[in-house]
Amino acid sequence: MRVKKYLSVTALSVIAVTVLLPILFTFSASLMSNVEISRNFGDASRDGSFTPFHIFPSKLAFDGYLELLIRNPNYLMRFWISLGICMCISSGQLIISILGGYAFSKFRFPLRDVIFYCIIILMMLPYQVTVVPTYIVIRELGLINSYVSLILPSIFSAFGVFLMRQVMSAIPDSILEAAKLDGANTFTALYRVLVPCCSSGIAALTVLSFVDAWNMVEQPIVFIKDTFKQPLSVFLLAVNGENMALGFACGVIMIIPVLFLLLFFEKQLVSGIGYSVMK
Amino acid sequence: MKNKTLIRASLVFFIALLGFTFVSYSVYNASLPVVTTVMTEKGSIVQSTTTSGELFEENAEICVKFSLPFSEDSKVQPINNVTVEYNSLITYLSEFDEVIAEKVEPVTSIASIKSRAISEDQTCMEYVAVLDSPEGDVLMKSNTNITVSSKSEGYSYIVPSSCVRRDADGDYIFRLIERNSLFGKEYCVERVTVTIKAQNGHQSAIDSQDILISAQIVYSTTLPLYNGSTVAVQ
Repeated sequence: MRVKKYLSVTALSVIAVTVLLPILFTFSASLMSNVEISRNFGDASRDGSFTPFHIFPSKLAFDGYLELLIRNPNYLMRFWISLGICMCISSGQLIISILGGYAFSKFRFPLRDVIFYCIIILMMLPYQVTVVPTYIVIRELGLINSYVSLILPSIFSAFGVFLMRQVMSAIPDSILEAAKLDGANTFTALYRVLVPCCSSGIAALTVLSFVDAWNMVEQPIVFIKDTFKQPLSVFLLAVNGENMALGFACGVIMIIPVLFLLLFFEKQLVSGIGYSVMK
Repeated sequence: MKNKTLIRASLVFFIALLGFTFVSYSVYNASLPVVTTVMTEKGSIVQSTTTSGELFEENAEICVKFSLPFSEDSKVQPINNVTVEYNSLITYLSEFDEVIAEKVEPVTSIASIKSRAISEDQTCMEYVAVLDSPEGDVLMKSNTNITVSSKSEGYSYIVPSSCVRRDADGDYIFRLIERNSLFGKEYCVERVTVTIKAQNGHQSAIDSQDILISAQIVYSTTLPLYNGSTVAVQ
């Protein structure tokens, strides 16, 4: 029993180190100078060469942070743009998903299950499959090169509708019937009764949609032609090639909002995702 | 308790980032190189060389003898005349032809090339030119300056010589470009490789594969410029 426990702890520790090492490396490399990064990792891309294991900075340098926070406002402006886009997408997804989940779980209408299965099929499709039709629609709407082109296609999430449907299905219909007996209409019942009951699912969806939007790369590359309009997630690729210390500092700044969100909704996220595996 | 700490921490983080955004925006604007620009012009370049010469009289004509390096010969050949500045005794007469004053003054006249030959030591070209219409009583032994000017062909792009920079990759200029940015319109400079077709002391005729008609070319800058540098225009 004790051996089994030690084995599981060792295995989990190895996995934890493997997962946490890149994050730790990002933090420590952001405190290295460009010279130190180039000296230690400059040959990383060369075939057949080994990169030395150099995780802690030999001398603290804040070049990346100085560039990011003081010298050039471009990166922080992109941070705010990314944040704005993510907040729009997250709130849009919440509204659409809650309404969709409400309809699929609490109403009976023709082809309800067929439409729901279509949504599940849509959920299985990789984004790359739908990118060309989405591009054509966005182009026809004249939205190419605007932030709306990022927000509009993303506010409908098949996974969000599916998750909210699962969460709402778990809530007994009798609660809604009681609310209706007390005089609540369809939307009041949703807003006053169902939504507070689904807080864990909503929190999980908020975190997942925010993280998804925060890390999006394909959509801005396809829909935003002006490079100066690109959000931080895309801009980070360009930064990494030119100034690695700055790239790592940007990486740290990018991690922090998501980290706050995950820590804030930690409990709800676990229980909310649990609904998605319910039948 | 944990949530309150998290909310406070996230508030501090976002407010700090907002503050840094404003600070970096101000620092960024203040640290931009300030450039002055000029427009390219169409036209020709007057190339001139000045040398000293010796005046003498021959067959009742005032002649001037001077020499030039072989490289300057091309300036003399096309137009076959030079500008000669010499001292002459100028007599001022009244309306009754009475001499009022006599002054030695510098005078400029055109002289036609009479002969050109390689010098004996074969180091330069020697010329003899005849003053077309000498003015006053020419002082033969005074200082004489000969200016050889040749007007070059017409060029599409003429810029001040200080616009043209040089490095290991050759001659180049910085062209000012307006572009959209996160902060609205901003100016940046673009490196354009050029070939110098002709040059005098202060102007250069340049040629480029890029079209430079009505382009604004960086004339001076307060900080070193690189291709793509964002600049402020004075």
